[in-house]
Amino acid sequence: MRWFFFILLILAAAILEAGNLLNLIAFSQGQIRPSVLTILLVFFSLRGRPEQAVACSFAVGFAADLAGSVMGPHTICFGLIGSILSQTQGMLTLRRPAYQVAVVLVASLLAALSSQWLALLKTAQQTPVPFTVLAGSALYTAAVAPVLWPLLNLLWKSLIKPRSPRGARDRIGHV
Amino acid sequence: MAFRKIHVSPGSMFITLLIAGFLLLWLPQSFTCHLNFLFVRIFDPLLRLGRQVEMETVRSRPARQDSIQQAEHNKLWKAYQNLHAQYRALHQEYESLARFRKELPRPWPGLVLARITSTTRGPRHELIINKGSDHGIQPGQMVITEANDSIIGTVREVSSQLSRVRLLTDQSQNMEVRIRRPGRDTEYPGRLVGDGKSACRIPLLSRDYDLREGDVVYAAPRPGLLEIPLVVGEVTRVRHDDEHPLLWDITVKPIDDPYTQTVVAVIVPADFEAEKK
Repeated sequence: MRWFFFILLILAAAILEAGNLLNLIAFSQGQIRPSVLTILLVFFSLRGRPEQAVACSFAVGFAADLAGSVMGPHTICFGLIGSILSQTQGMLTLRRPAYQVAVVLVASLLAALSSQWLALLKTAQQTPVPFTVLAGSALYTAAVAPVLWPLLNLLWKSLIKPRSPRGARDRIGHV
Repeated sequence: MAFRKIHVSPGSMFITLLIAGFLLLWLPQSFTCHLNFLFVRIFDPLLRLGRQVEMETVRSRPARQDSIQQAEHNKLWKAYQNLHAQYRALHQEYESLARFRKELPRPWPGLVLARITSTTRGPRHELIINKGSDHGIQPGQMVITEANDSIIGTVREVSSQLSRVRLLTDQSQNMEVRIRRPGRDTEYPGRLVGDGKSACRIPLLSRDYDLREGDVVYAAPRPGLLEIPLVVGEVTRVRHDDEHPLLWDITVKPIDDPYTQTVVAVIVPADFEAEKK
């Protein structure tokens, strides 16, 4: 995998999450916005090899923490969710948009709820974000997923290194 | 090369990264917030993309009447309410001075002007401003509009060069306020909390209090942070609390929209100003 391009990609997504551009498509006075990083998490967890998927999940979580205001919660939650998703690669194939929506919705809800709990634990704040806002953002993220999925499929081709032709030559040599 | 031959199993990688994640979570927020501020500093120009469009969108929303007249009305209304509050404070001060000779306090110790670097409008309502602890800014200090006539939030976290401001509408905002009706001397204390959208609430107020729509809400003076009451907003709805029939459920509309501001001021203690000089 081309890690440099991968880092650029998640940095771009983190800038989108932390910046003002997504406010232009937000609902409910800016409260409900899609999370590009959650879509990246699901995509890379299901596309990469298991060790790549684990590393990608934690890296995307770290980027989500950077874009937020508390370090740690997203790294842990995204890492856990991504690692679990990577174990389901044989069972889950997200070719149909409906499956993409379902998996992103569940992952998004789980990530939002668990990371918020950890963030409250760390900062000792007493006012959590209401569940309606978290659920709305998760729904919006899931709705956006089928739009971004084909783009990510295109990007994936440039992110993976082309297979070395050495193996083929070796086989020809043996023949 | 040798490092290319190192193969880490997914399990070992997972455990290592999970421990790193927990370490990050365990480190104190005052330490790890510098990473967030570093991210904002590096990508500041990119984070500001779209802010201008958003500001224009907010400004172009139709007001209750004519937008220009409404803005003018708001400005005059705030000036009047602040003058009235200052007059009351000065009057009380004068009465004390009649008995004790002492120096009149300044309206506020010192102001640090800061530019808004980026805004957060999701579940949390926050601003990041381009001044930090090097300029005397500390958590808890009040942030006011450029015209110095209303409060829009409080400082939540600081780094040396940047600060994070929690807006009045943020759900974790909790500020001591006073409610007063124009033309009356009676004032009621309360605690203002954000509703997470575009307004605030004042819960747990007894229905014995005579409160109505149009009453003015001021931030309560706090020694070292705010010497005089400063207007926050206006009561826009007063109704009975459904869960607690003996209490009011009050909605307050902040008078200024922080998302349309480009520059704000932070009230800092006078001793820092003196040290700087």
